[in-house]
Amino acid sequence: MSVRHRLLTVFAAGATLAALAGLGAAIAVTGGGRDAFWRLLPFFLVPVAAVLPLAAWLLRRQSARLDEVAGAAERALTGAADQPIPVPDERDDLARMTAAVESLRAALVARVAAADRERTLLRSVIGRMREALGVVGADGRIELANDSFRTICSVRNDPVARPLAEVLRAPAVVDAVGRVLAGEEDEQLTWADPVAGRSFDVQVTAVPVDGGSRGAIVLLYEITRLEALERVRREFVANVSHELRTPITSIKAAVETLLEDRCSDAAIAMRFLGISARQVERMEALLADLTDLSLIETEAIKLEPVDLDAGAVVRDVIAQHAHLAAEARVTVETDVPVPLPLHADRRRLEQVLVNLVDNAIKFNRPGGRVTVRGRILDGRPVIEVEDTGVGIPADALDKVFHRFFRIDAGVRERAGTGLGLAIVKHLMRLHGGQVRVESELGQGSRFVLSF
Amino acid sequence: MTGSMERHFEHQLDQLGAMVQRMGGLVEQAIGNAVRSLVERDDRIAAQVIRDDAQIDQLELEIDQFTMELMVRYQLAARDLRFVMTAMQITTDLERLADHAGNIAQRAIELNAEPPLKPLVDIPQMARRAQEMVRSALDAFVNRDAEAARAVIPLDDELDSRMEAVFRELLSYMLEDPRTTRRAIRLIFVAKEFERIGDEATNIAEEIVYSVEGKIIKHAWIGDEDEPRG
Repeated sequence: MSVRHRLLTVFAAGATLAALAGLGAAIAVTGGGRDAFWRLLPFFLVPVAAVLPLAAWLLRRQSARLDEVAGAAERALTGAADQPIPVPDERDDLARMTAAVESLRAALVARVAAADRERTLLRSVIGRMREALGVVGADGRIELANDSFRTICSVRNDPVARPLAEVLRAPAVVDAVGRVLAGEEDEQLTWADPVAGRSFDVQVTAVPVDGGSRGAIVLLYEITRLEALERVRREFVANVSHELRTPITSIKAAVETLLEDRCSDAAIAMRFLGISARQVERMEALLADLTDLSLIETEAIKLEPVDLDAGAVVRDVIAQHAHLAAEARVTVETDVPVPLPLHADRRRLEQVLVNLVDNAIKFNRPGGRVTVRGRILDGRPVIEVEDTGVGIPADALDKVFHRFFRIDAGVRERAGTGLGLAIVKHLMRLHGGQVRVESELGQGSRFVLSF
Repeated sequence: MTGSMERHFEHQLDQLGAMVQRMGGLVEQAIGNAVRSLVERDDRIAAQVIRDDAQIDQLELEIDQFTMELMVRYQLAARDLRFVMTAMQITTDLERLADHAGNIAQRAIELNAEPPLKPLVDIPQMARRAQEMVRSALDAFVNRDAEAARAVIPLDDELDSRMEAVFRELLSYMLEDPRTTRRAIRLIFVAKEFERIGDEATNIAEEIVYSVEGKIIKHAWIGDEDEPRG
């Protein structure tokens, strides 16, 4: 039964009762008998019957307006919320109610829009975070996962709503989440993906999820690069101490022998002093290289570039190495045009060439050859140092410029400080040029400097 | 199956998937650690690998038990049955993978006791390839992806040819200097383990292809592909 019918029924019943009551009163007042009732009845009922359609019409009109408000409110709830509900001009209760519904609708629309904006913002912040973030519900299923988190899952499809243990192949992380969900303390751990070679700091934090149950936030912060840097630092310290310890051990042994022996045999004493002197030189060279490298790496040195003839520098360097080459039975050849004009810091260019020629002789074989070539390629000067030595394995090519990198520990004795090529790389970079290397194992290597 | 039973069964399948993931994770870790113990010459990591093997063996037993119960308790439809059986087979493969990791760790301890024969070049590359094969195969299982599984199979050829190269190189070391023989043979054993890891990964991949596509079903009592569950 609609409101309209109910109101109409109440009205009709009320009017009829009022008419009958009036009739009763009239009969009582007039003191009329039985037929007075029948006589007077029409006078009371006819007006009631006449007014009824009018009341029905008024009610219908009111209820049509009610319908309108109800309809608009329904439409607002089912999607078309941004359509305003027209507020009638009449200044009655119904108009006030319509206005109230309309302001409710407008407030609701604003509230929903604000929530939407907030959600979109939150979603894009979480989504684009570099840290992997996942939220796991009390049942162990993933409730939320950002893009980074998805990349560490083993499933390609959406991991949301699936059990964490099923989509993440990381028992350590899964176990930590399990413990936190079971009510234990928040956890922090490091997890290294053994195949992808990535490592993460993992934080598992309890969080109330819907219905107040206990969920867990899993946050993975990638530390692969940090770990690599830390490893480089550790290796560097280990290398430096190793490089220093070797000569110190030799010197210590020599000095102790001399002390015990009280320098009784001059020939032996001279031999041990010679060893000490060579080792001191080696340490000196290492320290000089280390200082150079740190200055160059921090760009604390200033180049003093001048116009010079690279050919002259090359010939100087080769002359310095004549003795070493003869000792190693290596022939050194040059093929540099006269002049080869170059704009460079003379001392630093010499340092680059010394390092390369030195290596080319040391890593050669008896009867081998070192060739230093100069030429102009595409208008730019290029210097190549080529040897017929042991060569460099393909997978070590990009590592030879690393500090202390050695292809084979066995050649340590004849090698220098292990810093030469790192210095070469940085000096060339400072010159706005570069160094690259080509090599064939057992055939030799070629270092190419381009300016 | 009634609704609640079906839900319970779904839950059991999830749990089986999670158990296989756990075992896969432990095995990936074991292989990764075995490689590290070899490359970084670290006995402690090697010992860890050997210790962790017991946990993996235990998990294999648990999964076996679990799958048996599943098959007894529920009337499995063909698809689910194949999934459960594949999980069981993969578990066996994973257990063998863990054994290979243990063997590599054992060889690493022996090799670490002597000076390095040569810088390791081919073997770490074999290791990387083998690890990637295992990961791709396990991912294919989780994703029920026959295509991805199929893509794992040809990768094995590269491992085989690398094995050949390692063998030739180490043979030349031995011929040149017989004192290197002991270390060279151990390295050959190590390379062989990685080749086997590739073989196991291939096995897993093949099982997944059969599981997803239903091409080989050994047991006659398995129903049709289209048979509705329950």
